[in-house]
Amino acid sequence: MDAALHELPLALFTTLASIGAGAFIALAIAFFKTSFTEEKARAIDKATLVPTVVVLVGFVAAFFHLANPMNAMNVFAGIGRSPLSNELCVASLFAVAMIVYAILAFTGKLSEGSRKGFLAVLAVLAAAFAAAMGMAYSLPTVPTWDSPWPVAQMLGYALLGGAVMGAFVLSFADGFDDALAVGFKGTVLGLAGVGLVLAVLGLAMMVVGANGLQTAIASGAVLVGQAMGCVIVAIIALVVAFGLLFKACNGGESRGSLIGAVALALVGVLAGRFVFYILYLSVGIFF
Amino acid sequence: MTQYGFFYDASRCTGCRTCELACKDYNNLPVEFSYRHVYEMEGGGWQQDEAGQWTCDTFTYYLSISCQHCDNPACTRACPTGAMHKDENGIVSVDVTKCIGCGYCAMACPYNAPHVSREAGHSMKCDGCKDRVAQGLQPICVESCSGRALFFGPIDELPNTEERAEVAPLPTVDYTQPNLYIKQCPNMRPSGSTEVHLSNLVEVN
Repeated sequence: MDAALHELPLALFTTLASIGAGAFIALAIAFFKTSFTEEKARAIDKATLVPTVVVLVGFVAAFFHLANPMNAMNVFAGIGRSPLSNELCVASLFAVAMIVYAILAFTGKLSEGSRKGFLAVLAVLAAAFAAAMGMAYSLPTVPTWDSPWPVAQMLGYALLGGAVMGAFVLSFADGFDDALAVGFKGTVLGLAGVGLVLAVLGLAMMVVGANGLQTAIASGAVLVGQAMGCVIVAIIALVVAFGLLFKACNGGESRGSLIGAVALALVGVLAGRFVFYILYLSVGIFF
Repeated sequence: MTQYGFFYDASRCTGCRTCELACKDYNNLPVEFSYRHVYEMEGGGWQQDEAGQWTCDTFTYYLSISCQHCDNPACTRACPTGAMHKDENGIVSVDVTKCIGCGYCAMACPYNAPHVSREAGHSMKCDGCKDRVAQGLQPICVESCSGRALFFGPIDELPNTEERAEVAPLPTVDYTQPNLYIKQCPNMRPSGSTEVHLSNLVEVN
């Protein structure tokens, strides 16, 4: 648990960035499926500030992890060699595109065509960003992290968390019912469902893998014991977040349900990120 | 490129920690942090036979470990900035003008060599006492070893380079090709063995 708390800034970064970025995938689908009135589209554009701020707060949290943030631009020197550089390269591309989109959206300068085009690019970059976050800690000397399961987790968090965050943005701008009326329900629930399966499967497989590891320094089973509370919180929170999204999509009181779903997604993903850091186990000496 | 490395004679080491303290003193390191550690590994126990007689097969051995200045370092591969690099002598060290202190090197290294100092604002680790070596001296840990268990120099000048260090709790050499050669003592167990455990965790943590 100490390891997880030590990495709190990174846990916050990956939580906020995955959910915030994922929201742009859901928003892209909403705009491709729905012909919102100009007034609703403008309201959604303004509400897009919510996931934008969530992602930016995540980036600020990441800077608190660094002992010397003034040298941060040097991270691009390792592109192609260091998984961390690759992640931050994709993260920067996404962030720049997101900020430009948010400025254009907030100032009402997006036409219907440019909005769709921009959101399509953002959705692809968001998925790439989530996958890159999962690959960032793929180190051959850390067998618990060196697998596809962290990638599955991060994609799952982005899809599920992004679906609830995107639905909340639509609801906040009074556009959720319009989207539901033209088939957004099946798409957003499918997106969230795939995200839930990826997140839970990723967590479960990582725990199973760690449980069988034993070195002269540490026992994977002991680490799994330390992580189990967070595993349970993560899975319950993510399942209930999906349930609240399902309720909102099926005629329930949408805004309250979606606020609850976003809160639970944040709790679930943060707990999942704690699991990831607790399960750090090197092939050699580590503490 | 000349590759420098360490040779450690485990059959001579008494686990006195002089190497560790000399390093800490020379580099003016804080109490809670050291470039070199002496790991005390223990195993065995007491068994009772059918006649009720107790026998003991406990054993211990020491490993004096710092950075291995590996041929294929996990830290330099992971480092996003290139701050962690190998020089013309094969020594792995930190370019503090590039380091962001992300700790990725510390996570990747299976020898617990780099540490991030938030006070200093960068990663810190053994640099093979490169300033001393440039003056024709030995690293301070080697010079301080009263049992003559530690050696340092170009690989082809070390006393014995037949066996790279592949003993528990170190990983197998294929991960990073460490430039730590070793003469084993009889109690040593191979990498991957779970017959041993670290007995001085609080000291080295």
